[in-house]
This record gives sequence, C-alpha cells and structure tokens, in this order.
Amino acid sequence: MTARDPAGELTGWLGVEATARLVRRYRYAEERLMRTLAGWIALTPELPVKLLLGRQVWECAQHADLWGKRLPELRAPAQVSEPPSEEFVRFMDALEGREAWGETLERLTGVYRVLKPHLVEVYTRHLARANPVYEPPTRAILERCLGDERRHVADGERALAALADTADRQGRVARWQAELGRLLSEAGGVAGALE
Amino acid sequence: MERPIAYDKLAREDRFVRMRARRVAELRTEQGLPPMPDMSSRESIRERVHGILVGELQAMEGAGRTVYDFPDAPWEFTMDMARQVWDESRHVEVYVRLLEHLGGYVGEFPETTILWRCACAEDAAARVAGVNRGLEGLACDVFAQLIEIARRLPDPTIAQAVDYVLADEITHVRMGSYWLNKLTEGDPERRRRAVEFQESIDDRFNLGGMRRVGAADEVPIAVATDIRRLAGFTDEEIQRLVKTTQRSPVY
Repeated sequence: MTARDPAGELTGWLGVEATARLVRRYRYAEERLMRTLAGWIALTPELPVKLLLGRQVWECAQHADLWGKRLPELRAPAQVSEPPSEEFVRFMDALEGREAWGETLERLTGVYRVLKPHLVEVYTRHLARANPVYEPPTRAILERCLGDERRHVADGERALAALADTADRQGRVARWQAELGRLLSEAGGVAGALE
Repeated sequence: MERPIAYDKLAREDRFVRMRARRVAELRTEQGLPPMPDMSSRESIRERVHGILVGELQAMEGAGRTVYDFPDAPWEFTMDMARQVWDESRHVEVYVRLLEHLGGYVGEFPETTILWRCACAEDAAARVAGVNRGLEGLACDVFAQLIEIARRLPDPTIAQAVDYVLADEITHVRMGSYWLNKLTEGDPERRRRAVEFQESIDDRFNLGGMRRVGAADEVPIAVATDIRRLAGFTDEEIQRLVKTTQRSPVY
C-alpha cells in the first residue's frame, strides 16, 4: 500500500485570481466566436453550412455562459469577457473579417482548423493541470466544452471536406490556415502568458 | 463584419429563386390560382410548406443577426436569441424533410424576402417586437392551421413534427413579450415605436384579408386565438389583430 500525499493532492496550477483571468479570456473567445458564427449565417450561401453554424451558436453561447457564471465563484464579476491581448483581438478580427459570400471556405477554416482546435488544446492542457480536489467546478466546465468542441471540429471538418473539393480550394484552405495560425501564434493563444 | 447588413446581402445557393412577394402573388393570380397556396390539396400544402421553410431559414438568419448586431444588449437577451438560432435551424431541418415527404425539393418555388426585411429593424426592441411577436405570432397562426389540416387528412407525420415547431414558436413569442418590456423599461417612446413596428408587420401579414378568424379549411390563414393566448398575447391585442384583418392592404 502506497502512502498518501495530502499536500501533493492539493498541489494546484493557478490561483483563484489567475483562474478568473483565464476564465474571462475563454469567455472572450467563446462569446466572440458565438457572435461571429451567428452573424455569418445570413452571409453564407451553402444551406448545410448555415445549419451547421445555426446548431453551434447555441452551444458556444452556453460555453460563454458557463464561464461567465463561474466568475463570481472566483470572486470576480459575472459574465465578463476579456481578451488576453491586442494581438488576440487582431487574430479574432481577421478570422471574423472573411464575410463575403464566396469566402465560406475561409470562414470554416478559421473556425474548424484554427480557433476550435486551439481551444481543444488549451482546454485539454488546463483539464490535465486543474486540481481535482478543489477545482471540480472548473473541470466540469472544461469537460463539457471539450466534448462539444471536439464534436464541432469533427462536424466542421466534414463540411470543409465537402467544399474543399479541388486543388485550388484546398490551397485556399492551407493558405488561410497558415496565415491565421501565424496570427494566433503571435498573439500567444487564448491563454496568453498564463500558460 | 458589417452591422447591420443590407437587405440584399442575404446569401443563397443557386437553387433558390428569389422574387418579390407581390410578383409571386400576381403570377399565381394570372394562372388562376389563389394569391397564396390555400392548403386544399397535397400540392398546395407542399407549396405552403416550401414558403414556411424559407421563412424558417430567414428566421434563423434574422435571429443570428440579432445576436451579432446587438453586442451591448443584456447577456440574457443574447442567450435567448442564440437559443432561437438553434430552434430555427431545427425548424429548417424539419421543413426540409416535410417538403421531401410531400414530394418536393428545396428551390421548387420562389423565395420572397418579405420576412427577412422585417427582421432588419435597427433597434433591438423593435426587432424583437416585430420578429418574435409579429412574425412568430403569424407562425403560430399558420402552424396551428397546418396541424389541424394534417390531422384531418390524416398525415400524422406533418401533424406531429409541426406541433413540436409550434411549441417552440410559442416560446419565442413569450421571449419577445418579455424582451419588449425589458428593453423598453423607462422609455415609453422606444416602446411606442417598437409596438408600432410590430403592428405594421401584423397589418402587412394580414395579406389583404387572407388572415382572418375562421375554420382551418375555410380561410387561407386562420387567427389561432387560443394559441396566441397561450403564447401571452392579451385579449386586447388579439382583438386588435382580428379587427385589422378586416382592413389590410395586399402585401
């Protein structure tokens, strides 16, 4: 029988204030993405993509809401979003800006190849580090968001595969993915220096 | 992204054919048909269902724009509108399948953008009054009638699927009533303008007397008074609507 290590079991990653800061950043990404998806529906010609965005708006809103409700439990005002940096805002501006009718490929690329996979990575790392004794409330939200985001990415990939059916279109996807990936990397991701 | 977007920015696949509502009515009249499908046959039900499908599509797009266009509105308002986007996306999926069930296909009939135009009010209170109370109220009328006709046929597939959609529409009307009150609290002028906007939509969608009180199989669109009451419309509002159905311009 191995000896228990109570102090080790209570080892944590971030303090309360830093977790609240991180939660506001997650909320910024989820809220901004939710509004962007919602605004794009009318500007996107392809019916299956419209319906995909329509289904996911509500789940992204629920993610933002869950993060926003967690804040007062961390001694912070409820339902507040805060971007990690000006660079991250520029990344989101670039992602959102592909609003022309003919830019559905770029819209899907930004969401399902760049931002949502990034959220999956960050949430996964956070879940692995969040203390299971005193951070179950945050862990529960991370688990819920992760399940949804992974499904969103899989559904988005299917839509992207259906549209990116020529070498030219696949080239557009690759170029935009690289450009947005660079902006996201320069911004330091949604967690910024907290990671 | 532009905020709000112009009427003509609504994006569609090539299979959709867009036409002015007035022109559609003229073309039908020239062919000896009633200005709008009367649901007296399976074919006319199919055409009506196609019209509802594009209406639901525009409702999803409109709710989405409301989420995007009003970032400073209360968070709970955004949540309700985001929920409505999801509801409308399910309604589109329901009506695509019902259209196929009736032997039709997307793009079989022209699309008019009259509903979308109503969803483009620049004030959130006016938009929610016009869309959630005006247009979703109209949807309550149309769907209650469609359910009744489907039960008589009988077509349980249509009756049950549309009944679920109707349940959502009642919820949307309630949301509209709540947010019309909440957003205009302490601002009677804003409320007056929003209510006027909703009433202008009610008048427009009386469609020259096509919406009126009557049995489901006797009038083109029957005012669903019981459903409207359930959705939270007051008796005074229902009476006003009934009165205006007797003096409406065509389109």
